[in-house]
Amino acid sequence: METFDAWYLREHDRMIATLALSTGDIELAVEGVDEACSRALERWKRISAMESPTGWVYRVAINHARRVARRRGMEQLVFRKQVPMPDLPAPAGEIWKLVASLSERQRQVVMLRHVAEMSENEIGTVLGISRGTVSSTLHDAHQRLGRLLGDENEL
Amino acid sequence: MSQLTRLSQALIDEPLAPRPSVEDLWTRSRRRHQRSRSIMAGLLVLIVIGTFSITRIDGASPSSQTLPTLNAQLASYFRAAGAVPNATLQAVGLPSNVALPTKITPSVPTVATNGVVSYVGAEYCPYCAIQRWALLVALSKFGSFTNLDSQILSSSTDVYPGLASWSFVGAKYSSTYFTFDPTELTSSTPNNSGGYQPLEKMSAAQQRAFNRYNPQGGLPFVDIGNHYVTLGASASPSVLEGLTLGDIGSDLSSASSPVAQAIDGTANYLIAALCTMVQGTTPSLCSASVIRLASKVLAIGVASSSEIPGVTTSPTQPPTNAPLSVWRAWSVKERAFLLHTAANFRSTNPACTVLKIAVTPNRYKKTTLGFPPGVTSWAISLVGKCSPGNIGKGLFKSP
Repeated sequence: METFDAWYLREHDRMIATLALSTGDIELAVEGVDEACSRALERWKRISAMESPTGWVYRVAINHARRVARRRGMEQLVFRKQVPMPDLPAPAGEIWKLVASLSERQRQVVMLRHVAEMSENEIGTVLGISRGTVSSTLHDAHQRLGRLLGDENEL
Repeated sequence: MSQLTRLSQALIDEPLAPRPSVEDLWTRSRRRHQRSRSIMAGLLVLIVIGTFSITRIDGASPSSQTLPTLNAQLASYFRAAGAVPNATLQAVGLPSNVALPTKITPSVPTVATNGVVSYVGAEYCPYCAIQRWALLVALSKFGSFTNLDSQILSSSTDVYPGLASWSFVGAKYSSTYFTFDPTELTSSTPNNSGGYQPLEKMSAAQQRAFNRYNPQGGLPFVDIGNHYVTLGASASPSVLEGLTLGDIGSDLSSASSPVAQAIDGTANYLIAALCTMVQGTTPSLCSASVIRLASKVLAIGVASSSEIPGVTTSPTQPPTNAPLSVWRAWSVKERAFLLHTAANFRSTNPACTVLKIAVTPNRYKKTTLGFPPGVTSWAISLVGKCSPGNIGKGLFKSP
């Protein structure tokens, strides 16, 4: 069984990159990933026995980031708080510009596929959707990104 | 490997954020459990109070004494808040960490708002929690409240979670000077759509003033007779953290306590604004030196130099990539410095007079002039007039 430390060392930075590029917000990504990792640490014996411990952590991180974003949105609405605009350093900024026009779901699927390097089955489990939906979402996103990149086949 | 994978590999080779140690993760985990336990304890208290309420309605429970006792306790806190001695208000003065009410040019029909003090807030809102206390202290100097018997806690999941306060729902206020029209828009009970259960609706007049003077819809909103408004809390709700109603009630009469500094300091400005609404015989409090000073400050929109700590040098601007906490600290110091500067400003051109000087906030949505997004920067805005022949020579430079 892999130790938490070894898994954490390997996966942490990739998870931050995936979530940051999905949301366009590093702060949100760090909050989501750190919270999910701390929960995984508590339950590592059970999590490590799962088919995809990383998938479980992504699922928790995405849900937590979504909750925090909702709360921030509410604060912005009610307390007139400013929510920082996405301000990712290079090359994340360039990637974000490329994918910002995708829907939130498309961005999540693309990032889980190409940054987290997950299989379509794993992505389906993380996002709670079917493999078919993952495939069609990826296909649509690739078509759109292909157009944006000027090359339909390149991704 | 896709192009996207190649591009993003750089983000893994040079991580976007530092990796917390495993010990940090354990600390985070422990904090989460502490928070959960606090929320559970809060829920338990609410269930117990709810049970007492139900048994009281039934009228058959031997514990039916408990609620009247609780209400009697609540009433005592409110009496304490309503009876903050004038000497305490005088001793508190006008602290620099209290925001001033803003003078407005009435631009909504005034028939329904003249002579009316209006409050729009919500029970979940931590900023409303502190503003209610200040309103209670101030309004109690001109009249009296009854039916303030609904204790609440602000949202447990928001900033400054679980602040002790009470609701204005069902409260009555009587005064010979003006009427008080409070509206609590929602409870602190979350609903399924990510918001809170609705409670009351604004009156048409309130809604007009709210839309006109508070277009961004922040809470709480206080409209003092269509002459002054406060948007949001006038002082930081952080002073209420961890305190019970009893603690707050007793701290209000201790001038040096952070609670009194924030709440009584806010009340001093509110009282000064309320004094402008009084027709006929003015209460003696309106002639107190601290209230007269507050009135002057309200008129010019800048706090008196004697009340502002002597921040005489402009703080050094942090680098753009400095942490947000460093920028926030800078923003506080910068505001204090500019307030000090504005309060002591005199035109160097004797032919010119300063009509209005104010310190105004500004926020950028993206990095501008080295200011990162979300940071409040400050500037002095100055309106003046010069005698004929001196126009254009400015207020700062001698002719």
